[in-house]
Order: sequence, then C-alpha cells, then structure tokens
Amino acid sequence: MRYLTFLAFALCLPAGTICAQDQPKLSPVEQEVVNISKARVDAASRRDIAALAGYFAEGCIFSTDDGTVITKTELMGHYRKPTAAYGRLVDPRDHIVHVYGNTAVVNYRVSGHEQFGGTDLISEQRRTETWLKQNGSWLLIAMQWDNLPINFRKPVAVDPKVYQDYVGEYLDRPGGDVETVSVRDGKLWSRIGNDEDEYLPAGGDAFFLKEGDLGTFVFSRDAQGHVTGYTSHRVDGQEIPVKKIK
Amino acid sequence: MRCLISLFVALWILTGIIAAQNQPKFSPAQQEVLDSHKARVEAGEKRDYATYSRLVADDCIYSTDDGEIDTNVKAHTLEHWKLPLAYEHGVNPRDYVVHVYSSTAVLNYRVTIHEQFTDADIISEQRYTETYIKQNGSWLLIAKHWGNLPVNFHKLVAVDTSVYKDYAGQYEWRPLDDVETISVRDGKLWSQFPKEPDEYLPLSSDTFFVKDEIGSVTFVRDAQGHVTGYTYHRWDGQEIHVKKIK
Repeated sequence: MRYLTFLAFALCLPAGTICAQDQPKLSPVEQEVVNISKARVDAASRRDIAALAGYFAEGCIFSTDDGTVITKTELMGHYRKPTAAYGRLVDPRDHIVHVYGNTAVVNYRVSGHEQFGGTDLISEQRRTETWLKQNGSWLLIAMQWDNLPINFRKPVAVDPKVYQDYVGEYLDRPGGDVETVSVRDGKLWSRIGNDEDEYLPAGGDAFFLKEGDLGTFVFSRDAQGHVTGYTSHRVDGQEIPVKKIK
Repeated sequence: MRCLISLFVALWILTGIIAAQNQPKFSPAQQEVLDSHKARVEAGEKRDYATYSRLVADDCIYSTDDGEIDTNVKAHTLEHWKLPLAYEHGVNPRDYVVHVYSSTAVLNYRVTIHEQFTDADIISEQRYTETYIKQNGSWLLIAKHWGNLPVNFHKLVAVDTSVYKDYAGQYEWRPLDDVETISVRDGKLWSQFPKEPDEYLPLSSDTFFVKDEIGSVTFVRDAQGHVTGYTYHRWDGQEIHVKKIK
C-alpha cells in the first residue's frame, strides 16, 4: 500500500459535529448507536489510543478506500504515527442507522481533509459500520469506507455554439438506458432516466461531470464533422464507445 | 446518480467459482454464512426472487461503489434483473474473511466484475463488506458496502529512457512522511517508499503512472532543466506538488 492518506480518517471525526447532524427521527436505540460512535470519535479526537482501541473488536475488519483490508493492530499502528495528524474528517451527514437486536449498521457520508503542505486534499467518503452489543456495550466489528466520485477539475471556456452538434440520443448497449443530450441555457446536459447532469467542457469535444463519474467524455465525428457518438474514458484508462442513435 | 451499472452485480457472481474458492479452513458457523451468501448469488443468477427475498432484509442497506445509498434494494433488484445476465457478472471471488459473533456475522471479499457494453468489456476489481444476522435459523443480509480497487489500465507508451536518470533522487511529500526514492534499474524507473518498489510506467517522457493506483505524476523542471519535483495528479483533478530533496 503506497498511500495511506485516508486511513486515519475513521479516527479523527470531530465529535462535536455529529450531534448537529443527528436526525431527529432516530429511535432511542438508534441514538444509542450514534452516541457510541460519537464516544469513539471523542477518544480519537483526544488521541486517546487506549480508549479508542476499546471500541474496536480485536477481529474488526477495516476495509479501506484503496481496497485493502487491515487489522486493528495495523490501523492503531497507523494512528500512532505523527502523520495521522494530517488527516481529519468533517461534517458527517446523511446518517442511516438500522438496529436488529444486538446488531447495528450505520451508514453515513463525511468529508475528509488531508494536508499536503499548502494543499488541502478533499475526499468525500461513504462509510458503513457494523456494531455489535456485547455485555452492554457496542463494539465495532467491521467498517468499510470508499471515496465518492466528486470531480475537482475546472471547466474551460468554450464557444457553446458547438453544443448543438452533440444534441441527440446515445446508447452504450442494446437494452441499456438511452442517454439524451440537450442544450439548455447555453449549457450541455445529459439525461438518463430521471437523472440529469451537466456536461462541463474540458476543451474541444471533451467533457466531464461534476460528480457521479470521474471519466472524460469525448465526442467523435465522422469525416463530414457529424457527431457519431462519444467515448467514455474512465479514469483507470478503460474506454467505453457509445453510439449516437438519433 | 448517473451510473448504476455496478449496483447489483454482486448478485451475479458465478456460483460455481465460489464453491471452488471456499477455503476448507472455515468453521461450520463461517461456512453457514458463506452458504447464505452463495445461495443469494445463485438466486440472482436464476432470477429466483423468492429465494433472494428470503435471504435479504426488507430494509437492507446497499452502499455502492459510486457512493450512493440504497434502502429499497429488493424493488431495485427486480428492476435490474430485466437486463441480461451477461451484461454484468462477477468472477473469481476470493480473499474471503468471515467473522461470526453468535447471531451476527461480517463477510469481506474481493471479486472481479465484468460489464459488457456494445464495444467494451469493462473490468472493475471490487471489495465488499456484508453484514448478516441470524433470524429463525437463517442468515439474513442486512447491509452490503462495496468499492473499487485502484487498478490502472492505462497502456504505457514507448519513450526514450535515457531521460530517466534526470528523475533519480529523493522526494518528500511533506515533513514526517516517508521519503520516496526514485531510481533507474534495468532501464526502468522505480519508486520506492520504505517497502516494496513500484515501477513508474511511462505515459510520456515526463508523466508516469503506477499499476495499482489511479492518478499520475508529472516531473517538473526549473529554467535550467533540472528536475525539482513532480506534480501528483489525483484521479479527481486535485493535485499535490512533491519536492525533490536530494
């Protein structure tokens, strides 16, 4: 594992912010689970390693945002490093808590910040935690966290007159959802079903989305200059050709 | 959300392969959880909603690889089953970790997902965490969270490797971090933090990537042509400037 940048985020949640985000409709037992999560975070805020360790089951499964699985010992070891202070989590929100007897699952979104010199690297994350009540106390037995596809690229200035060339319907496979590309208010829009996103210009025939997909979409033209489709260039280097069907 | 393509693929892991991957070291209790997982996957393959529904809690939480949250997974599964099975399927499930705590269990594994488009077979390596509770003698899925592993599919390009020696040296991301040593060996460029080395694969003579990371580095030179550091381009458009210190 090369970059451990966000490993410590689970431990650095400012506890004070949780209360403000709590949803009023939580039942007492759901609130109890959020409270224990808050207590765990308090321990992290104090960098109270001993207290923090008490919230994790010895066999707790930590499934990280880079796809690796680490142990409690590895996570605590990372947290003991001075570099752990570079990372922090803020604004946990959108909590969903389901409790089944002595088992609870909590899902929430949170913003991660990591300092690199003058750069503040931001990661929007989604987390799922599994808690188990043993001997009257809630214990974390599994947690997975991953980054949301939020794009920080800046759009470039282009002449929106060319947007008309892209208007039409597109299909990536038979039976797939048809994508309708349109122009409205001088902007280029992509609609699939009920979801609509703006195509932000990256220059030339290339566009990107603010969130949901981090790839670049490059429209293709035939010899006469007519748009025939586009290629979705995923950030991992794979490509999906998409045909214009109307 | 625009791309729901991977939302339900976990249901379609080829079950024959799961059986082959089962490791004999699992305890009977762990095997019970795996069997429930396998039965749900088989139900997905057969479009057997009755079995699927019996194995999944009505309020099960899905936390997807694009950061979406779904608490109505049964209805969405039925909708998604209208697409051909071949469009999305998982192969080679592996690295199973199962922890059972009486009537609660957590399961973590990795799987390779294939998504078929008209002119592309898109591969995603994914990591899953599933939470189960035992109800009426059966293991019931109450939460599932999955994310993509960083695997880079970019193709390296041929460059004049004589320039590589310009990049050799030590680089520091920030104080206290491990120093990165860049070196040339066997005509290749290597990046080494204290642990195992990664090869920097060329996208051009000054831009490189690593196989198991999404993102790239572009070396920076001063007016005299001396390398002074590099810019790390993260997958989402954010950048970190890294100094050459020796």
